[in-house]
Amino acid sequence: MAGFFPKETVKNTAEVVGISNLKDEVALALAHDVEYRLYEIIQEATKFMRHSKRTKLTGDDINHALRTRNVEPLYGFNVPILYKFERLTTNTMDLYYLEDDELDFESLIDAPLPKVPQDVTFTAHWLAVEGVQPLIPHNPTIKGPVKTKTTKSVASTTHENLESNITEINGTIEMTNPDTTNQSISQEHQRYYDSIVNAVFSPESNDVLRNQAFTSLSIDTGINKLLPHFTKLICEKVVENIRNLEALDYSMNMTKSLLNNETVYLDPHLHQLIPAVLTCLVSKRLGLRSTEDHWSLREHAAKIIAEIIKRYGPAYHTLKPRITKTLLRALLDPNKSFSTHYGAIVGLSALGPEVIKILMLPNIKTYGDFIRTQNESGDTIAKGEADRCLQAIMDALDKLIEDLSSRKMPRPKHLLQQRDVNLREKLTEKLGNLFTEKIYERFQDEDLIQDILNSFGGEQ
Amino acid sequence: MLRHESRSRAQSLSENSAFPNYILYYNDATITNPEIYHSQYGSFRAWIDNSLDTYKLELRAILFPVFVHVYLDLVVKGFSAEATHFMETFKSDHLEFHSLQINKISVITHPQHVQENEIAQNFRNNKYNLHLSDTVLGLCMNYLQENKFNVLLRIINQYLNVKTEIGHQLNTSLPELDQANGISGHTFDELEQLNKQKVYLGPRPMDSQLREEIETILKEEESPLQTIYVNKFDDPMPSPSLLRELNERISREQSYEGSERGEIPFPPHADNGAFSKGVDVQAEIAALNDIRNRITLGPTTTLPSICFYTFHNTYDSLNCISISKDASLIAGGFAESYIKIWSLNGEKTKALRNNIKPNYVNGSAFDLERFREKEGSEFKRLTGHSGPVFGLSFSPDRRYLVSCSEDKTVARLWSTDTYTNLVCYKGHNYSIWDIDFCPLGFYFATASHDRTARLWSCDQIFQLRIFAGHLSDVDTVKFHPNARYIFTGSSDRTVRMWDIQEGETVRVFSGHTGTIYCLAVSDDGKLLASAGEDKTIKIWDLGSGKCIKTMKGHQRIIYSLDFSKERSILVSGSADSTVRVWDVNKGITTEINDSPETLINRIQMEESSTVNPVNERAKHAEENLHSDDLISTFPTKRTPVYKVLFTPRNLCLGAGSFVASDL
Repeated sequence: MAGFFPKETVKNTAEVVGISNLKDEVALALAHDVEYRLYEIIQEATKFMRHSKRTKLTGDDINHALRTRNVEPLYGFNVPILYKFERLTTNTMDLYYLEDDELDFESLIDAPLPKVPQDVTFTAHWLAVEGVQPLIPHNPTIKGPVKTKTTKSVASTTHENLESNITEINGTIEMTNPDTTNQSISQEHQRYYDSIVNAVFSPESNDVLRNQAFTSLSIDTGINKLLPHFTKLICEKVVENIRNLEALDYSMNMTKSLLNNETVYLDPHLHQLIPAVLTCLVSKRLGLRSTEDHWSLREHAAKIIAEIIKRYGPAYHTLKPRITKTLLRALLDPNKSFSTHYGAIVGLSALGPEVIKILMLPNIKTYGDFIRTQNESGDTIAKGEADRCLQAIMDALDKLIEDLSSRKMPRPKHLLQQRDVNLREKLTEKLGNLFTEKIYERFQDEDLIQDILNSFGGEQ
Repeated sequence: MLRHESRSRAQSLSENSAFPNYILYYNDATITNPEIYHSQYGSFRAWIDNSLDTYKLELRAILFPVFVHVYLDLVVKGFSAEATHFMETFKSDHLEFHSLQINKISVITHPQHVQENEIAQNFRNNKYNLHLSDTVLGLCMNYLQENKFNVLLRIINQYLNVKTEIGHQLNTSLPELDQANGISGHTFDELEQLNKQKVYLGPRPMDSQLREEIETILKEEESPLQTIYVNKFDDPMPSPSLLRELNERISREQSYEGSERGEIPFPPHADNGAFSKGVDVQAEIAALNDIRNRITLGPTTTLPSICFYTFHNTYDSLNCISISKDASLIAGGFAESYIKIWSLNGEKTKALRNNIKPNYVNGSAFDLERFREKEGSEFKRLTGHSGPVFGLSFSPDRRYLVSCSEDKTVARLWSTDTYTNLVCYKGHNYSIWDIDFCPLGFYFATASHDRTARLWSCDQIFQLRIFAGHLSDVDTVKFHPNARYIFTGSSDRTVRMWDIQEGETVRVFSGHTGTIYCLAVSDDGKLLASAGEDKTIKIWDLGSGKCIKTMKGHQRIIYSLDFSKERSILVSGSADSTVRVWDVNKGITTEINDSPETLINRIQMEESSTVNPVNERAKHAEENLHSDDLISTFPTKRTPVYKVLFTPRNLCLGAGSFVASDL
């Protein structure tokens, strides 16, 4: 007789509840019925499992099924552990039972509390950008050629050629460069693209042509489809021309023009553009020689970053924190070069007085000390660079003070009288000697200095 | 074509007149030898196997219902051992298409169980519909008659409802998947009548007063703007104005054949109230804005961008996810009976403080704002249910959230303004599986284990309609965009379309081979997509009630579907941890009509060459099985996809819960 549930089990169970001699037929009939009921419960429980979007049946599912059938649920089985049945052979008959461990109360009570499980959180990422899966850590790596069919597949994207596109710049910024060019572009588009690229990067080109190209990029309405190509181009150019200031400058100008264009939908490409801009901002070495004017390029990049944050910060609320964090980390790392520091300073100060006040001001003292020690030991070139950084910080402070004075209320009388006598000492304590001196050199007005002190937050 | 169709309909056989003579002299009670069943079925099967290839597929379709009834007969007569033997011998034939049912049927081993088992009762009490060509039916009957296979004849007569088609043979390549085959609780004629009913698929016409107001506002806003635009850029094609969008929309409305009858009443537009002045107008303008700024998606133009939300540390307890239409809120329903709401736009969720003194609130609702939490928090937890939460749905203005749960009787309405429970709706007798808020607000519908779907309005605690008719659990429910109809998907493997006003079924869509877990209706109201346990997606034409095509490719249950706003693309999310993008229009050759009178040719399913179950049954090929219309597949990192949806601007959002490890 088929069936997983042997009549012996029924008999055994009967014995447990005190019925010693159950008839064979009764046991058999019961066994069949029990088996059927079990299937029924499992079927119901499966529904609960499916609607809980799980693929593993749990004790809870069974209990819900039992509740649905108006049967008392089984208590004590709702912990998701794997139950293991042990076999025992007596009188040529197999008995199965559940191993119950003996627990010692003492040790149970003395045991440290288990770690509180982490709370449910979520992360967001792009699973696809215009039909192409970007190669970011959130997405799985695909083994072998991608099986998806692109509509007019121009390039069948494979993992291998994606990987080769990952370029590490400066050890800090990782740039991925996924091939988003899966869609064929029309001939007109192709021609437009070619002429823009020629005008901007070709050595035969001149400034007039270039400016026309940038203007075109910033106002043309129909270039949305070319965006993947332009972003890719910008990324590539930045990587290739890290020693060529001119090309970098053109790339930044292109980025700027695209940003200025109100008709393009740049959002999906930001994650590619930002690393490129950041590279131009905080890279250790730009241009062939350190004497070249890479400083203005950095300032330009800073403005672009500020523009990006202004435009897209409200929509992507993690954008601003992420960029400021990167910049601040670059600034506070004493192992980084002054040129990187400079980039970080102008980057931060371009983000507005709020950022200067909250992020830069508290770190100025440490940075001043750092510059002093460097100056004492360093050569003349380093000194010149350090001066640049100092100047940049002072400019940032200027900006902050300008903002403070523009917002200044008419000062109440009593505050004027209460002005700190030890103003200079206090400022030194906060900013360090170097900057206090500089500030006193520049601003005679003690009101303003008081304002700077006040900017340190609630301590005043 | 038309002539052929009408002729075949005229000649279709009524159910009982088909085989009266064959069974006149046959007495069922005399069968005491169970071997007869076995041998007759065995010979019949062998005969089918040896028949001509052209007939084989159709004949196989007869075999399954006969198989089930032979098994049930054996069980009822008490030959359970023989029944089991019979099952073991022959079940392999049917596993490919009917494995889910066979698993459920094979556990029946006792006459008593036949009385109680849901599927057995479905088979016993309803006729199994079967589409056959007359040649095949004739062949089959001759064979059975000649060999005096009375047992089988009786089964065919009693439990099958055969509809014949004049002609050489049916042009469908897979008769076992033919949508009309199977049990739906209706005979062919009834089904045909049902699916002939007129349906009004056009959008709900806009309130004239509302329209006037919008027009005035838009005219004021746009006239100066547009001139500036033209002057500045000298652009011959200024971007379409909102006003034009409005007019297009209205002309679209008028192009549909509308009818006042069956219109669902909605509360009057709130345009005069002091509190919500112009809220509706603003919402409509925002919607028009969305339409204007929408990215046009299509298989040959732009493919969708998908933003995916991955949930961590859920320990398998996250049951469902819902995202508000404007992508500002995301809510998760948990097995531990609570709901959690996160904000997606970076704003903190702020409820009211719990120390409000009513005396200090002076009359106006704005005054309450003073009592809002200062800090807010990352998320809010809503407690109130007493069982796992299975469904969530935001109201279109995202000010409310409805939820349903296992706790049998309760659906709840929550405010996303104060994050509190407002109303609790009781009525269902068993666990509620799914809930859907009406796209126009105010109403919502629930689907339950008690085999009914119900319609509720937010302001009443009793249901307005009970939609009964499904033969098994109703697993999912979805509103039509014009709110006149709802769709329900069920474990009985059919989808039904109900008229809300009448409370009657107006369409039955059958053809799936497993439970239906998700439905999606296109924004223009003409197409329905359904999917579920059988891993296939079917697209239905609502006007004619016919299946237009079947899309294959997923390897696990499909949890969620959505059409892009212009209906060119369908996305699906599945337990196989992928989001797939499908081309809706590929393979659809005829125009889609909303009038049932127009004959829609049965469209050849464009199966890719690999999908040929007869020739290639190799299981290793399963991975590569997908139909032509699959555009792309986006795998996630071990994250089954619970929810996919398009925002009004055609950005695709997806969400799922990360599974830590494969246990």
